[in-house]
Amino acid sequence: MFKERFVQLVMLILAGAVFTSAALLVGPLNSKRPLKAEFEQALAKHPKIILLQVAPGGLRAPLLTYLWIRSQQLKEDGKFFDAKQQRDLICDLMPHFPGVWAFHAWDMAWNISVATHTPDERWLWVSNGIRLLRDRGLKYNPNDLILYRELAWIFFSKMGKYTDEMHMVYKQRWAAKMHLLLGAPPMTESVEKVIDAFLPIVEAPGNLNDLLKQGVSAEFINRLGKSGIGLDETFLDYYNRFSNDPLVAPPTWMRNEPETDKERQIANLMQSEKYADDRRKVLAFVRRKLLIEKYRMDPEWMLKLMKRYGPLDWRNVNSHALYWSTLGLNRAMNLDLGEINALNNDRILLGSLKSLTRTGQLYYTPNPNDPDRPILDWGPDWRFIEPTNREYLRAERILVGPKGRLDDEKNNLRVGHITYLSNVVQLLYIGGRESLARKYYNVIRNVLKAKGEVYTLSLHDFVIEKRRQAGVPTVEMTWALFGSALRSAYRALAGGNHTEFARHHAFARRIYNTYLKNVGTKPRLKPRPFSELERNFVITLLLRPRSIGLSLPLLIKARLYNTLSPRMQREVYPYIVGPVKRECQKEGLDFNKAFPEPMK
Amino acid sequence: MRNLWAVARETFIQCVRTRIITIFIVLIAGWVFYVGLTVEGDGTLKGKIQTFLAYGTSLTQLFLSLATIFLATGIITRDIRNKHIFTVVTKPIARWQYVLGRWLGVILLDASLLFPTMGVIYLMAEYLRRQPTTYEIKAASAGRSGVVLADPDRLAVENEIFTARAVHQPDPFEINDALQQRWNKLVKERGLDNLIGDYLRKEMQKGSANPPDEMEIERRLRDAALRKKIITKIRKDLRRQIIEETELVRPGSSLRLTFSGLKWKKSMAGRLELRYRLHPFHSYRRTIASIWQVVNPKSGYSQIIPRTDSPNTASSFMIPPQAVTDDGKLTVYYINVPTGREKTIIQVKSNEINLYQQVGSFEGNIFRASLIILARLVFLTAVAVLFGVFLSFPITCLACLLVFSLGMMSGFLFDATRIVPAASPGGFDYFSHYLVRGIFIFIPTFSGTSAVDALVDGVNISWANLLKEYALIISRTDGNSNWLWNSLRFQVETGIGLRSMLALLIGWLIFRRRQVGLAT
Repeated sequence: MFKERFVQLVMLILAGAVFTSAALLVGPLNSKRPLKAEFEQALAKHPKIILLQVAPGGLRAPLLTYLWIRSQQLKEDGKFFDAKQQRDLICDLMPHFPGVWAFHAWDMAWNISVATHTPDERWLWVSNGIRLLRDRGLKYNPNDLILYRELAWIFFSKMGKYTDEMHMVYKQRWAAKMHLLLGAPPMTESVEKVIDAFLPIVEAPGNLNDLLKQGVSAEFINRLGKSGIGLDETFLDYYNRFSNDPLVAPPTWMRNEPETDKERQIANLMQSEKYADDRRKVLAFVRRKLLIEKYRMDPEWMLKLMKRYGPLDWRNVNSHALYWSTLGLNRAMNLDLGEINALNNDRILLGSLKSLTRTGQLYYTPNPNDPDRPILDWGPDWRFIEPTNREYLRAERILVGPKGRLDDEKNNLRVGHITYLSNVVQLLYIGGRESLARKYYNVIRNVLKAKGEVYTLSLHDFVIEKRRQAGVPTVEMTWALFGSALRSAYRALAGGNHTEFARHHAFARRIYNTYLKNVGTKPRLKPRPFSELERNFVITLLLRPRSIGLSLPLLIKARLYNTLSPRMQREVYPYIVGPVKRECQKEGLDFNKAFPEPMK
Repeated sequence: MRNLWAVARETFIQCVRTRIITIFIVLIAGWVFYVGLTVEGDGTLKGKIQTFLAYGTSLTQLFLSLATIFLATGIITRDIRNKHIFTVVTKPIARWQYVLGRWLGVILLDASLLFPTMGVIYLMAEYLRRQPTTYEIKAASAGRSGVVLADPDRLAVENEIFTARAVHQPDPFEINDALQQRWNKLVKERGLDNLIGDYLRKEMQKGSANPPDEMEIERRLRDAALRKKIITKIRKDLRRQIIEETELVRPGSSLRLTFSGLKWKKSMAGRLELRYRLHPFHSYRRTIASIWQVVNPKSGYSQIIPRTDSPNTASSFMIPPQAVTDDGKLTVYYINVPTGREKTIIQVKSNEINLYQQVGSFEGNIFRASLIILARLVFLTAVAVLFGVFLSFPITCLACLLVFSLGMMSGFLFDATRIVPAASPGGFDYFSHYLVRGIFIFIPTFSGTSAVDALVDGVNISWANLLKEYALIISRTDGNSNWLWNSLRFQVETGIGLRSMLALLIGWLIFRRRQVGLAT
């Protein structure tokens, strides 16, 4: 009896000791858990997540193992019908494990997408990857750098680069979404004007009451409501279709006239002068709302980026790579833009800025037959050269130290910087911006102290020699050079210099042919015909010359038009007739004489 | 027979009156409607329907299995625990009638729940089928109404889900001549004795650190029966080697695949689907470009299908019925397209190539899928009866759940305990290998013919498959399996129905010998 009691007592003491030790461990364990307050708050708002944490009890681990095995097995079997839901469930079961979100987003965007064969399916899986990270992963892990980095990488590499044979699909789909939301930036060379155009979105109120307090008439809101238009994407849909805003409306030759009475009423609402101010405020409100709620973007941070790096066109995927990579550093490490540099950003910052230099000018033409597939053309945007150069220099200064020399071997960015500026010098020189080209050529020679005989040559000879050495340029460089050459050619033509026109035009054609022969043989990189690209360029030149960095008064436009070949005139006339006729009416010019209809 | 029916009827009524069955009915109904109305899939209509069929059918199967386990075990163990059994066994009812009657009653209940549920799943799938695809929504908004023929999603729904397709594998490669040539060359170069000696040395070296005993090799070389066996094995290895070499397609080369025995009718409308998997030798390639050519040599029909696929992942394309010859043959060429510098040899394993051809209707298939699910329930009921006659309720439940779990995990367990010679298996590996295979002599592999997979992929469940599920299948083998009847060159597969009978028989034997009460 005594022995039994003794054993019971010892066991009781032992159990007590174990429980006490366990209780003592709770505090230190909790303090070491990486769960931050925001994360717990984020979870608390989602009972489904909480339920999934608790309900399976001890079966959570086997359930997770089963789901992981099954998801990978189905993927190998080429069965993707359940892939998204399974991955959602796995992530919901492990919401605080960022690697899981990152893996599944990557799996969908990079692996599953390439196993599908139609543009719709491809885009579906890439956007599923984006949505998993942006809409869910970051919601539960708002301070996790891995997730921001993975998201930025999808925009930068998967969508922004050219290795995927459907890269153009991603660029088109994203541009279409952002065009619907934000439209094109103003056609101007002034960075300030682009930023000013974005400011109303940043300053727009966060709710309807505040919007009404800003003086938006209740009558306008009511009329919108009666027409079945909510303050959401339907407003943007109709605004983009019927308003006279040149930055969002389709070109005149594509515009659909309202067909029903309801559509006519809506068109009236979208065009009426009476509601111009209300419309502007509601537009900014809706854009802000959708940016925050649907795309989970922060307009204030977007504005900061534009102020620091230049006139970002949000229809370009590189702008989003820049956004998410910098936002991640801000949210995860509390770094402000001044503290973010090329070295702590996995070089996405530099990569995006370099791409924007070569492709920052986006020429967007809607496609009425397939709205998801607009026609996209790119041109170089020289406004990104200085920010890119600045970021290079800043990072290099960190590498070599405050008193170090930039040509020190510690500066492992120097070679890339010299290559970038060499390309920039060629682009600027070929594009007719000689003084800027000289400025950056001097940076290569005097600041970076590039070594080699080629850097001792004159600017002209440097460009010639570099072009000779380059052989086949990269994809982006090809189109940047092509755009620059056409710009110089048509600027010369507008000034009546046919010899210069012929020289630059021949260069553009040579660039095109070299690319076509060496790179364009691959279906994913095959360019559209030269004549089509040239036609689009001339249309842009006549309708939106500022987007190419040129200022063309109407008379110069007329002169340019009349010096075009009859074939080119026949091709561009249908596109320019509407807007240019209005311009002529405004300036009192006889359209038919200035822009005569070409002979059939 | 009347007694048997009376017990079965009584069991059915008893089951219907229990609260647990109401809970399961609510669960199943709620689940099917919930999934049907909220399912998303991968965003396509095909994915939506497939996800619904997968979740709807598998969870119905799970809920019914659990209900069966709880009901069957509950009824029998309660009879014994509450001494109701005294009022039964004292009646003129034989013990086998009691056991069989209880089993039959639960199965009747299962069937009365299963078939209406599968009916609802069918109706729900039909409802989803009538939903517009993304393409149709776009076409409608652009003012183009009516059926859009070129919509790949709609075509996939009709050709890959609402159908019942037989799966064909390519005909074996014609390698007899090549095999003979290779064999002759080998014998000429090495000599037959050397070949057999090398083989013996290799076999004897396995798992041993010491060199093989040459005397022993000499002795075995003189054994005529052994020599014959070894020659057969060497030729078999050679055959495998030639097949593997044939399956390697160099850049710019092609591989010819033929399919025979396809059903052919002039009115044949449904398209065929070819599923394949490509294995590149250099895995740096993210996608593989290939060209497939489908040829009907008799009619002159030919179609070229360019593809870009992920490596090591199943992919598929559709083939029009015109490609099949009148005598039911199809010829397909795979061409390895060299793309730039990224040239690589591609392995096309013929056992991973499947051709799907419509042979039946979705309605018939869903009915047969229900019978497959019922087969599993039949077995679980028998197991519950077997354990219920001599164990208490919790232990019977646990035993049944264990059997159920093992059956569901059979595929994984077989794979996990596979002996891989290259991995130098140890004692534990052999133990687990034979343990698992031993267990599954009695427990059926529920992952065999999967009703869920068949419905999701639109694969026909043939009556032969059903027979396999319910009864005993004896088929000829090549004599190389590890089974007991290897030497007889027969493979015996016992279906679920037969195992159920075995479980019932054991249950009856135990119950017959069991003393349910003691008169004092």
